[in-house]
Formats: sequence, structure tokens, C-alpha cells
Amino acid sequence: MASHYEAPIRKPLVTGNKTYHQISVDVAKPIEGKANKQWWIVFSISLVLFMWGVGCMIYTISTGIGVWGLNKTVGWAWDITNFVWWIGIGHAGTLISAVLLLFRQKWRMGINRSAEAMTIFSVMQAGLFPLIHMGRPWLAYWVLPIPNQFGSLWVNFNSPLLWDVFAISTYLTVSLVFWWTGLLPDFAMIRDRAVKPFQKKIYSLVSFGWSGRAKDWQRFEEISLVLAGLATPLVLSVHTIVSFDFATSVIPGWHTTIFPPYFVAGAIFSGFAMVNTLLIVMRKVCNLEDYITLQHIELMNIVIMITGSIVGCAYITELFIAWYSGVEYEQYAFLNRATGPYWWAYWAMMTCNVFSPQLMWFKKLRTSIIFSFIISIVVNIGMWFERFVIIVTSLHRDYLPSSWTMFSPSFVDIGIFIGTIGFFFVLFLLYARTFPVIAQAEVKTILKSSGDNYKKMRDKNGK
Amino acid sequence: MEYTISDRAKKVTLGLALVGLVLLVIGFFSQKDFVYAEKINDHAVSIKYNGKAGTDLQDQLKEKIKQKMHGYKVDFHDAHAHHDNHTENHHASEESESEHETLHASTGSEHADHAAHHGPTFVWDVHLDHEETAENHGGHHESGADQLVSMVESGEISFADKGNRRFWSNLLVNGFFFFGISLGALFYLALHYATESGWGVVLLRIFEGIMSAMPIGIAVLLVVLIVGSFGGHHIYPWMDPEYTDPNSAHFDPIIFGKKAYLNLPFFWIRALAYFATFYLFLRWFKKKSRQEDREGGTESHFKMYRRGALFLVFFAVFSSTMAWDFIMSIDTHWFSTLFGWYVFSGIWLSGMIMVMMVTLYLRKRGYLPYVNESHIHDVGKWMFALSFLWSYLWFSQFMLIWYSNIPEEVIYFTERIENYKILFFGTFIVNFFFPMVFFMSRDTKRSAGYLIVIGLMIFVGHWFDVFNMVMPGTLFDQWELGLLELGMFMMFLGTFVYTVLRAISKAPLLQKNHPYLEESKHHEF
Repeated sequence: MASHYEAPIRKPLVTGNKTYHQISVDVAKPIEGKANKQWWIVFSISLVLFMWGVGCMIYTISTGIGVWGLNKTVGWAWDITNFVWWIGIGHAGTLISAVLLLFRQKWRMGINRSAEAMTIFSVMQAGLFPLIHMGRPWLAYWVLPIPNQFGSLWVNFNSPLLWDVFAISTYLTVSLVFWWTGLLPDFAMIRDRAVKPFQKKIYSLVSFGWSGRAKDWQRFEEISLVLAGLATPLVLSVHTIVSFDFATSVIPGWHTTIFPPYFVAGAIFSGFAMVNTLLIVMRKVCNLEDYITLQHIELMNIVIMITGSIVGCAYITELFIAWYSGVEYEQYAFLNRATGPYWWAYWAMMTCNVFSPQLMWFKKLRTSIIFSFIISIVVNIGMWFERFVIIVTSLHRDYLPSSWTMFSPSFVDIGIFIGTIGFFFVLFLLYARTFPVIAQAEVKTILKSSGDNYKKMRDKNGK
Repeated sequence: MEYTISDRAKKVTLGLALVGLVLLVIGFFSQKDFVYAEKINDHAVSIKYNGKAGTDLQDQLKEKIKQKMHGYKVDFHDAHAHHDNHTENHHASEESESEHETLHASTGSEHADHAAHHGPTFVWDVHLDHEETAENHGGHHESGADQLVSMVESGEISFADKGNRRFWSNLLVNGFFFFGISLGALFYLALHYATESGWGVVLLRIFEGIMSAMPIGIAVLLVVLIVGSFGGHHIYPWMDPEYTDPNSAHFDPIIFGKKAYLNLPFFWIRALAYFATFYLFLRWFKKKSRQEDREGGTESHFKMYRRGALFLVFFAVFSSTMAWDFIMSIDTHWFSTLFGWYVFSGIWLSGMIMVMMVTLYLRKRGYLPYVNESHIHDVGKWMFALSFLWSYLWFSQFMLIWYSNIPEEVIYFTERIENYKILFFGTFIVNFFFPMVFFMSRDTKRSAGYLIVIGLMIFVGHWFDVFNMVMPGTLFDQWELGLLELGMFMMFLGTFVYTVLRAISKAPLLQKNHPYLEESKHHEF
């Protein structure tokens, strides 16, 4: 796929004079070595949070949804906010691996593996929320159109919530297949290096008998392309359909046509921010600075800046058209968002999502690691607030002033949310210890065109 | 390598424009009128006119009808008045009474629909009474009402379209469509620089050529907007002071509510800002790339990289507001937050198709030795992907409004489905299914035959997309596809392509000092 020739002015994507063998060694190191103290500390904290979340989930299911802060007016709050937030984060992985593959962006190879892992783990967190909200999760299969003996029990195909079921499960499946396909040659590399029989056994199982023959590679390339082609519309469709959950309604603030593309842009925005959060830490801890270079971080920052600006344009468009429409309900919904009792949420969203990414226009800032890390956290907070603003502020001023309320989360709401964060990090930390976190087979394909040593060699030889 | 326009290309493009002009003139002078007649019963006809006509013109038409319908006593009633009066007064036979009622009901509801825009200028109920009953009972089986309807339909009874709504609307459609093609090329050029793309360097001069034809679109849009501002046509209802004057009989509170944005001074500031910004960026990019040709080095390149990003910032805002100003404000009451992005996707795609066509032509003539199948494939992929983007946005906008069914929003699609059904859905089918089916495969995206045939179909499809955006708000149900439309499109197409080719001939076809030129030359996948 990759182009054979690269212009000298392009910056190297692999630094530190790597050879093919060194790449293998560097990628296998975290797996073959032992976990250090920090890893155990972070892992333990995550596990505790996760367990706390599990406790809250059990409490919810055994007592009822009433333990949440929901009320008659605001019947949807943190649950759906968290759901959309996690789904959004789960967008970057497939975007990086599929869309950037189609765009032949070589820099994706340093980050795609972890981004995809993050995607899968965050979609899993997202899936928990509707499941818990069902109240009786053991009946979850009722959302599927399965022929049954229950009389009139059948799904409502007119409901975007059902489309969500299909969209998300398809997305999860394809992302998983895509991820695992890419992992095959890398698992095989670990298998071939493994000295302990148990490790060898496990890695030969998960690498599906990869032999490294030309035919394997040929099929690998083909399936990657096909999956990329399939995954690209899926990236768009998932958040589009999530946006339909709101936009098909007639609630002022929810019903607006810009939602589908704007949700997609917002999802990519938050997803890239999360990738930055994770990788900035991981490159340091696992000594992968030569593969996830400053150039990678800068490019991700640019993506964050662009998608943040798109989201900003959408906010302004919504605000403007609400006024322009001449519909007083629309006008009020947006006035209330910006100046009503939840003004702080609105302005938190605006500051984090629209203003802060604009700082990335300055090269100094976008090439600063610590600044990138801070912004990535800020953006994730902002994107959580975006969903909260859309959902709660549009609901809390109901049609009758007598039903106007506010929403305050109960400890269970907070507990479940924190629990999913814990769960997410548990999964990610386990992944970082057992999976090849860099797509080493792919990185090796660009070593000669984009490795700093080869670039230098070409410069010296004049071509 | 320099390109010179061959005589044949000159003849074909200018010939196309000339034939278009002739057709346009014929179409213009032979256009059927917008007086519409509907039979109520044998003695009564409803006559409707949606154009601009003062009372003197209306009186002339009444005289004409009286003349043509000699032998009948002709009565005119304004149907804006109470409908029931007519039922009592006129001489309809008892059995057709119920039919009459339903017809009235349907005209009534149409009023409500159009009231959101200009509304018909008049609707008359014309009642016909025989003066000499004996004479007609013999030979004629055709009733007076039938005669009148057929005379109106044949254009025998009509007045010229005084506002020339059809002409102006078409000018807007073509002006905007071809302006959009240039703008799409300019956008992609800026994107190419801002993203540091390498593959398309060998095509950049073609993008430059296409964006160089922007003055055509700007000039035409300026004419349309200036004439509209002075009341020469009524494409934009909000330009009409009647609607925003609280003392006027036609006062429209919704349009009045938009006055802070939709008013002539502010509108003109914006319009001029769009044109000036786009044109200045265009000039600057061209100048800089010539400078790079002369001087080499990477300085010009990095300047263009930064300027490309700056352009995208302006474009992000202006592409949306421009779509609201020039197109969405035709249906002044209506609003859709997605509209700007939807229009943008069409602009981008139309630009890409034009790039493909010009590239294929020049390559066939042997001018682009470095453009290989992979470049063609990549442009083909853009056509494929952007068709999906357009369809996605079309569907999102349509589905959400259709699903929610909120009256003030859904009216936009109701009108289109009622009066433009085939065009409305046909455009979507052509622009979505054709690229999806035919460009899915790798081979078709590399085959000139497929690219030209399907490309031209979706090109025309996107012209119709603009048509669907404009006409329902200006011509309502009285649109036509005739020589006027065909001629004007041909004229624009010929002139546009000629201008593009001429612009391409003004500079070397290769940007020889572009830092990514080697990458582009070696492009293969």
C-alpha cells in the first residue's frame, strides 16, 4: 500500500536508527519483561474503581433504576451521557486504522494498534449503560428481532434505539475482526520469540497459525483493505445513528439536522483526545518514543484542532439557526442552554471543546508533550459536558413550567461512571502487558521510506 | 510541458456555448406561460397566476379572455374571497356540486402551502354563461370551460412571464452550480496543500485551471443578486420590502424576525466578502505556484501550506453562510442546520468530477505524461467517496425532517415531493446508486469509459440537485424543463470548459519545483 518513494522534506516516523530486529525487540519488551511497580499501582487503583462500579451496578439491578438521580422530567441523564461519551471515544481507533489506511497516512502505523484496542474497550463500556438501564439485563436479547413465543413481543424497527443496537454491534464486530487481523503477524512474532512453553502455546493459539508465507501476506493485505472499506462507513454510521436517537425527536435542542455529521466529528474529536491521553503515557512507560514520535502527537493534535473546529462550527450553526428559525421554542432552548441554570455546563463545553483546541494553532504548543496531554484531558471533559448539555438541558425545562426540574446524580450514577473508567483502564493495562502495542509488522513496511536512518542515508547519497 | 487549446476543443466548447445561446433565446421567447387553468365544472374554471402582475396587466388578461370566449358571458370572481359565495352564486348543475367542493378544497390547501412564499398573485374563478344557448347546442360538444382550459394550456391565453422568473431562476441555478465547481477545485487545492498531500501534485495545474473560471460564476451571481436587490425578480422574498413592513397587507412576521440577518446591506457585505475572499485566495495560490516554478526551494511551498490552512478556516464559515444566503433564503421561512454542509458536499463533488473530465481529456491528448492510472484511480475514489458523503448528508437532512414531521420544516420536502417527485427522488437515486454500483470496483475507477459515462450522469445529477434547491421556492409547481434550461446549461458548460482550458494553457502543466513532485510522479498502488 505504502508509496515507495518519500519526499525528503517529510519528517521521519521511526527514529533512533532502528533495524528490523530492533523493532521486534522493542515491541516484545513489555510483554516479555515483568510489570514494574507503577503498573501494579495503576492497575490496583483501576481495579478498585471497577469493583466499586460493579457494586453500584449490582445495587442498581437489585433495587431498581430509582437509585439513579433520574426524575419524571429528566428521564435520561448520566446513563445516556456516559453511553454517548464512551461510544464517541470508541471512534478514533477505527478511524485511524480504516480511514487513515484509505488515505495512505503512514503515521497511523505507530498508533493504530492501541487506538483500536481503546476503541474496543470503550465500546464495551458504552454497551454496559443501555444494558443496565434495561433494569433486567438478562432479558437483553429482547432487543434483537429473534422469533419468539412471547406473543406480541417484537422489536420496533421504527426506533433509532433499535438501529443503535444493530449499528453498535456491527461496529464492535468489525472493529474486533479488524484489530485481530492486524494482530496476527505480531502475535506470531511474539510466539516465535517466546521461550516459555505456556506463552508459546497461548500466542500460537491467538495468532491462528500465521506462517508468514507470501500467501499469508497477500491475503492479509487484501482483507485489510476490504475491512477498511467496510469499517469506514461504519465509523460514520455508528455515531450518526446515535445522533438519530435525539434528532428524530421533536424536542427543541435535540431535533436538528446537523446532528449526524456533527456527532461524528465530535466523536473523532474525543477519540483522538483519548488516544493522545493514553499514548503520551504509554510511549514513556514502555519506551516507545521512537515509534510514537513527537510528529505523531503533533499530527493528532492537528486532527483534534480540526475536529474541534468542526464541532465549534456546528455549535454556532445550531445557535444561529435556532434564532433564524423564528421558532420560539428553539430559540428558548438555546438561550436556556447558554444562560439558564445549566449555563456552567454549556460554557464548560464551549471552553473545553471550541476554545482550547484553537491553541493548537501554535506550533510551540502542539509540539509540547505536557500541553498535549493537558488538552487531551480537557477535551475529554468537554465532550462529556457536550452530551450532558444536549441531553439534560434540553429536557429539564419541560413543556409545563410545573414540571421544570434540575438533575442531580446520585452516588450510584457517579459510581457506575467511575466504574466504567476503572474497567476501561483495567482492560487497557492488561492489553499493554500482553499485546504487541505497536503494529510492528506494519511499522517495518515503512522503515525504509520513513525511518530516520534511511532518510539520512538517502540525503547523503543525494537521492 | 505547455498545453495549447486545439482548434477542435475551441470549436466544440464555444460551439456548445453558441448553440446553447441560440436554444436559450428560442426557449426564452417561446416559453409557455404560468397562467394555469383548472376546470371546476362545465361552466366554471379556476385560473391561477403566480408571477408578478399589476392590476393593469390583470385587466388586459381579463379582456383577452372575454374576447376569446365570445358567445359567453364571462364573470370573474376573486377566489381569495370566500369560496362558499361562489357555490351559491354560480350556475353549476346540481350533480357536479360535490366535485366542485373538492376542487375548491384542494385549491384552498395549495394556497396555504404557497402563502409561506409569495403565494399566487391571483386566483380567479371564471364563470361562463351562454349568451346564445341555441347556437352552441347544435355543433359544439365541448363545454366553455373545456375550451378555456385548452386555450390557457396551449398558451393562447397568457401573459408573458413579466418577472421572467424562469429565466432568473435558471441563471441562479447555473451561476451557483458553476461557481461551485470552481470553488470545489479551489477548496481541494487548499486542502491538498494544508494536508501536505503528495499524490496529486501532477494534477494541481488542472485544479488551478478549474478554479480560474470562478469569475464566470461570480459575475452571474452578482447579476442575479443585483437585479434581485433592485426588485427585478422575486427569487428572494425577504428582499421585498412588502414582507417586512408591518403596515403592509403582505407583512410576514417570520421574515420580519429574520431581518437582522436577512437585510440588503448586511447581505451585500457578506456576498462581497465571499467573492472577494475566494477570488483573492485563488489569485494568490496561482501567483505563488508560478513563483515556485521560477524560484524553486521550499519557501513558497510552506507559505502555501499555511495559506491553505487559512483558506480552510474562511471556507468553513463561508461555505455554510453562503449556502444559507444564496440558496436557503429562497425558502425564507425554512431552515435546516445541515444545509450548508449539504451544499458544500455537492460543490466539492462537482468540482472533482470536472477535474476528472479535464484530466481524462488532457491525458488522452498526450499532455499529462506523468498522470498514471493510480492518479486517475485516486480522483475516481474521491468521486466515489464524495458521492457517499453527499448521499449521507442528503439522507440525514431528509430523513430527520421527514421522521419528525414538524410542519414548518417538512413543508420544504412536501413541496418537492408533490411537485418535483421524479426529479427529487431521481436525483438521489442517480447520485447515490450510480456511483455506488459502478464505482465500487477498483477496475471501473481506472476505466476512462466508466468514469466518463457515470461521471457525466452524476454531474448532471448534481446540476439537478441545485435545480431542486432553487426552483420549488421560485417557480413552485410551474417549473419546466425546456429549451431555456437546456440552452442555458449548454451555454454555461461550453463557456466554463473553454475558460478552464484557456486558463490551463497559460501555465506549464507541471509544477516542476513542488517538493512533493517526485512522490506524485512515483505514485502507484
